[in-house]
Amino acid sequence: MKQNRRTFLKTVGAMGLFSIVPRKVLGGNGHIAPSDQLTKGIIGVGGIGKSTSHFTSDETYRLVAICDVDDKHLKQGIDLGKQKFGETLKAYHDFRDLIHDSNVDIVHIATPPHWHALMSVEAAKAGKDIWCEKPMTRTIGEGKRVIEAVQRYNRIFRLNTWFRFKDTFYGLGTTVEPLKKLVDSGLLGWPLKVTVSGTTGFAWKFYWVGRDNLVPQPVPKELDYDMWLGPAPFKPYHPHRVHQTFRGYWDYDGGGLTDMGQHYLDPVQYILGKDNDFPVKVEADAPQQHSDAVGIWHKITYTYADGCQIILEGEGFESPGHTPYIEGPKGKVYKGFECTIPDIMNKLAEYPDPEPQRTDFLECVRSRQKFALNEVNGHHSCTLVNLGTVALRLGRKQLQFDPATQRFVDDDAANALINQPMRGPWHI
Amino acid sequence: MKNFKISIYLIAASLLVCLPLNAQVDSRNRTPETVISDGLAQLPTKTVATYNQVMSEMSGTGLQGMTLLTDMLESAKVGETAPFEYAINGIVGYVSASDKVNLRGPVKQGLIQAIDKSKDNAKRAFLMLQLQRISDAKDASVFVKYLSDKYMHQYALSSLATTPGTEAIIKDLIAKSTVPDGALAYLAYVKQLKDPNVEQTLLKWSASADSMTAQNIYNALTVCGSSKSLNLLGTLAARCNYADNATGVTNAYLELLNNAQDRKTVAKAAKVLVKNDKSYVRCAGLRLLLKSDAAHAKKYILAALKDGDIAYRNTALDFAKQYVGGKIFDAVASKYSKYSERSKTDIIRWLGNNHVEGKMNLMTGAMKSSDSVLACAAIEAAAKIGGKEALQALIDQLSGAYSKQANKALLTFKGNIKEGITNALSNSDSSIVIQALKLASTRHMYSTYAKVKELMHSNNAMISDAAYEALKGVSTPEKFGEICGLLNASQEDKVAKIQEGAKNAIASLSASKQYEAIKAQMDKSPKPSRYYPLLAQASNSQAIKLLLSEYEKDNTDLTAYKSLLSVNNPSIVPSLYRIASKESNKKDEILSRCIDLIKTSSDNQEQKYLLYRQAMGLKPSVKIQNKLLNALGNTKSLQALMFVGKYLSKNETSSAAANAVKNLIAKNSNALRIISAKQQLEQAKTVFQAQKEKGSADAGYAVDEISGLMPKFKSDGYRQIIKNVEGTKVPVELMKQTGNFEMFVDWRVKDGTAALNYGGVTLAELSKNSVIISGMTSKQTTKKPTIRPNWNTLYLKVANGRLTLISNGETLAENYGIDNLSGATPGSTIEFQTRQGTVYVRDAYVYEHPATPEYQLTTEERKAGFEVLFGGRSLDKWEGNVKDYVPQEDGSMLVNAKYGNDRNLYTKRQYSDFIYRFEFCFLEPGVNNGVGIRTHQGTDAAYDGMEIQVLDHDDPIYKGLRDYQQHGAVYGIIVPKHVKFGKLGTWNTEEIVAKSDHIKVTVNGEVILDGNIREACQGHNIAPDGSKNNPYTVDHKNHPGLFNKQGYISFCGHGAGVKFRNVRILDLSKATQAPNKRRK
Repeated sequence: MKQNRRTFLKTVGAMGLFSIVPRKVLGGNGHIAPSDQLTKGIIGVGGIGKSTSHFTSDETYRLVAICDVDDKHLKQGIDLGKQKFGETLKAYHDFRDLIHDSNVDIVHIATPPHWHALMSVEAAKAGKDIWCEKPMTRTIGEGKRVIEAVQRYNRIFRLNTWFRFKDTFYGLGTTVEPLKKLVDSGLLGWPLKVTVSGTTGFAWKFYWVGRDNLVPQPVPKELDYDMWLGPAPFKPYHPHRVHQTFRGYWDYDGGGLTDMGQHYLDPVQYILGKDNDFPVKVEADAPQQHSDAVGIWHKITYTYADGCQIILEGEGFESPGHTPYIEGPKGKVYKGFECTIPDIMNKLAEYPDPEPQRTDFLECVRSRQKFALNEVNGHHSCTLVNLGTVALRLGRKQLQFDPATQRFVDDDAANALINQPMRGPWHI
Repeated sequence: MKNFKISIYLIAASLLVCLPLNAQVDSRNRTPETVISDGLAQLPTKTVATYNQVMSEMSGTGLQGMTLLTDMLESAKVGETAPFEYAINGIVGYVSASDKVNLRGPVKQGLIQAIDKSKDNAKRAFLMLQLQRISDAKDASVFVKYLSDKYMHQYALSSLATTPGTEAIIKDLIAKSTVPDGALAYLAYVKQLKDPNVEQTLLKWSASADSMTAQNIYNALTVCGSSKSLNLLGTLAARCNYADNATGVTNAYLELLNNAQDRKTVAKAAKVLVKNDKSYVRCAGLRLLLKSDAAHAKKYILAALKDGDIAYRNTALDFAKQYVGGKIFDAVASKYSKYSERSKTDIIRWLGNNHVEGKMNLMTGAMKSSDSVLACAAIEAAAKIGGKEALQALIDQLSGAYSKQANKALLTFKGNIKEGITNALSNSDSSIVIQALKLASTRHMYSTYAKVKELMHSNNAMISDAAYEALKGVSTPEKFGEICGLLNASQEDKVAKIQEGAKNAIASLSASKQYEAIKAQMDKSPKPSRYYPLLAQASNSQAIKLLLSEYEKDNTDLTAYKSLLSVNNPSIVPSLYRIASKESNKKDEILSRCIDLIKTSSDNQEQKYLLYRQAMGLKPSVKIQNKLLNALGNTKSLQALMFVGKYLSKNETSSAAANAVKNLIAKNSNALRIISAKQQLEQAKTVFQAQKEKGSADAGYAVDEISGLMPKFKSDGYRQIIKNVEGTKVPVELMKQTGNFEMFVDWRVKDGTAALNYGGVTLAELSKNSVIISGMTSKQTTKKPTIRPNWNTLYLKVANGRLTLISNGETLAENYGIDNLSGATPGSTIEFQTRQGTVYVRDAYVYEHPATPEYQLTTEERKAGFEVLFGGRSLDKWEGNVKDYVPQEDGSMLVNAKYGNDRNLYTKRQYSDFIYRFEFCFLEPGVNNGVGIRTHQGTDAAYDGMEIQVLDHDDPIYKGLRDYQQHGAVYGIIVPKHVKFGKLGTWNTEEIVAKSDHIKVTVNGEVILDGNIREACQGHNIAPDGSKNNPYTVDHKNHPGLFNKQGYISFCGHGAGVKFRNVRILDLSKATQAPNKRRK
């Protein structure tokens, strides 16, 4: 057997000669053991995959391979690799080759969302751990398949939005933690109503709308359009469908809702303690959507069985006046953590902090512990987003959802959007 | 024109023949063509409610409507298909609801016919995707037919996959296929076909399938596979050593094992898998083993925990509870000591993740381990599990190598820690006491106040320090006086901590209560300056005033200075600016603080702009300049946009300025009207372009966003007239002097008042204290305007003699009529004029709009006695929906009205016989309006009175339009000659002459209708038999109000997008009726 880095690690591991110790505990002397170094390959380097936060490489987490179906992106990626880390990255056109590269430990999926589930499943089948950009999947059915595959091979999966555990959470003005603490304290009462709106500090970016009346154009020679489309239905090429503007088309994504949806909603799900729950109802108020091009919307409302509600207000359709971010029977919290309960921070100090989350992805990979935002809670918060897109696409005022079966109640057309067939030969 | 009339009758007659007498009409008496056209004109709908209304009407037209729509789609050019896509997609979505099953038949029929007829691939695909959404097994034959069509194959396949009830058909197709067919195998998988015959065929196919087809076959076998398939997949997977190859056979094998019923076989296979060299295959195998041999699952788990592979061990633990149940925790715990430190760590984490109680002995043991990872895992797990034992164990850990971890764990500890921590304060181990003090403080354990105070006097300096530190968390208002006593007496090194304690003691009180309490203590304190930080916390106006006066007494007093900077009240900003202007060494620090305060203040964006700009005037460092530019970028202010542009050309500020320019233009569409803003944006683009080339993805997005904004700039707009002028009289010279203009400008006066004049008319008076609009009483001014001591900013618009004025972001006048203003004459200027003192004016930007033309009657019209009903500026002679017919600056009125009778605009007077002249212009394709005559208000003029149709009738959405619905028709009664309109935006003239029963319509000089309404229906405006079906009218409907003698004239709004102008009338009844009366 060829002794590459991975097999080296494995044999050493099997012999039990080394133990993985977090460096922070040891205090660190600057030396990185090979056992501490993990490698990644990025699929899709035209947008977020090329951003400073992801296109990085250091001795703990080394970027070794990239993949893109646009030769221009691929070339830019190689150049960037040379320029930033002084090395020539392995470049792939077909993501399956990257996934099967034995030097890659972690597959980072930074493609448009219509590929996320398929690539996640393929990566899991090849024994890779996965870092997937938001939104997790394009349909509810795909999310279930990702969970199955990740758990079959016991892989570590990270869905990449992070507000449930770090960074200032948009209009809140703080991290999510004090809000979680406040909700857990019961000081606001129950059930709660959360309003995710421009007025509470969450803009929906409606510039991600698609165009109807597209006139087909020739495919640029650097782009493998068929491979870009992959599992999506074939539609004649237009530059607005791909790259920076793909979010405007239902076949690949779902506009502002799917762009920011999981960023905004995943923390809400965490705050409300709904990581293992789904809403029972989704209501939508929106202008009529085009079959292909995503439009704007006014308002989407989710209701859980216990009466908790999440309300999304579209940009430009915010309700007038001072809207609370969270409203409970005993108190309200506004943008900037302004709370109707007097002296709230002092009161809150008396309550326990939320249970710690595992937020070091590499540490999770090494210790085989679930990441804070993983395939299961990620699927749940992505389902919030996807429930919204179904209601919008169908023009339904409201849809009932059964959390137990993860299917809509008495609506075949809505259920047909849970599992959308992929274009052959792709399937999951 | 007799011939013309005959031809009208001929057309009518021919329509009679081709229209079945029971022609379907809806509840509003409309034919399918009208319903479809009306619907199309409203799409895409703005709300779900309208959507449901329109779609209910359109789907009600059945096959006829669907055929109309699909025909329109087929004949629509590429790039013009969207209206029909909205309609068809909408109808299908509407009938796809579970309570609309009965409506689906004709919709599907229409779609199927259209798919067969269409010659355009993209359109066929669209139609099939629509059919797919509402299809059932009966439609399967359509899909099967298209499986062999190269382009449609994928669509047919996905349709068969999603259509319920197609299983039998798919089985049949599989049976009949002689060659391996990956697509059919895919369907077998998607439809979850569990059928021995299917399996048999698939197995046969697998022998000769390529890897792509094989992948589909193996997948399908995971559903229907028996032991035969299991053997085959097992052999193939073993052959590649259970790797993930192109056929995906390993995954299929694992899936089939997962689905298989024969547990023994599965267990046997799983035992092979767990010996594989690939960790992830072993994990999958272990899970199968646990599932298939649950009786021995416990044994397997205990064994797996000895494994060297951490992934394998954790797989055992992850599924342990699922396959063994709760008793697995005891089982694992009993063997715990036999495992390696690595396995123990996994187990401890697992117990914690599952919140397993009663295993604290393991945790306490693990905490003592020399293996730091294990010990830390135990600390974390203990906090998750909770309980008395865990609490004590964690408190014990407060002393030692992991005190930090233990402290954090206790903060998240599940349960009450108060008692434990209170006891720990008396612990003999000083490290524990110190940590306990921290926890007591963080958790605000007020009951420990006395103990904390006692520990402040501890001989152990570290304990004493920690106790002082802890004071802030345990102090309450009742203890404030006591703490102030400490503060007065304290050594210098403890002052800061006691101040924190004092601050927190009163933090829950209101600002003024805080101030009172502080002031009382301060007055009797020998060291009043120790109270400055407390005043900063109170931050009310009294506290600020006191702090400022203390600072002004001695500006070397850093205590006062620091407290001033921590004041949390934006009203302090002007005072801080004053200090910054005097003390340049403190400038940056002060301005940085001010920016933060302004950002969170409730001032409006214009006022924020003024404050930021003022700060920039103090010439801070580049760092602060950039911070200011970022802040200015969020103000949405036009002045801010013009201001930040100056920083684009300096290297050190160009990046922040570019961002600000982009944001300001993106967030305020008025910016697209500023001529120089376009150059600024181009400059910003260059800055981003350079960053993009360095690899910044965000800059790439910015470049794209700018490219999207560029074409939106208007060619005409604001120009800068004044940069910076002062004087007793500052004129703003206008070039066009049209009487319509907009201006934004900054101004200030030191003393006295400046009048803002236009054309000799005073619009407003500006002074240090107020802005007063001319002629506006104090009652009309709702609130006192905010005036700043420095610069103020102003927006004003003068149009048609009306004033809109926004001062410092506050609207003081909106379309407000000012006497004599409409008489502004050419040669007028805008002018700031003081009665005394100087007025300062900077950055005046003016956008001169064209003058509003007013219609002048021709000599002929004047002589005849015509009256202008709408000349360009006023709707005085109209009533009804005056809100949605809006006079524009170009002298037209724009229709924004929606569909419906209450949306009409009516003349104030009634007319019987008249000549009515006007001009109209279509702005959007397919616009529908109408001139109602001799009608009542609030009714449908087409049947109550007459409606002379106004319609962009050549738009593709009117493909099925009847002749009697064309532009110029007496709707449903007399058919006009077809008018060919020019491009959208072209003005057309029209004259309607109504004399008794005689109606004549002339469009663009050509007579298109000249007929007699009584003759047209042979006097039967209502069916003689009283039925709904009237064979005498062209549209076969009853027109009960057709012969109304007189009534109002109206514009009947059926959607927005049309303009009218130059509306005038000659009332013929005045000339003819008078003699008649005399004769009687």
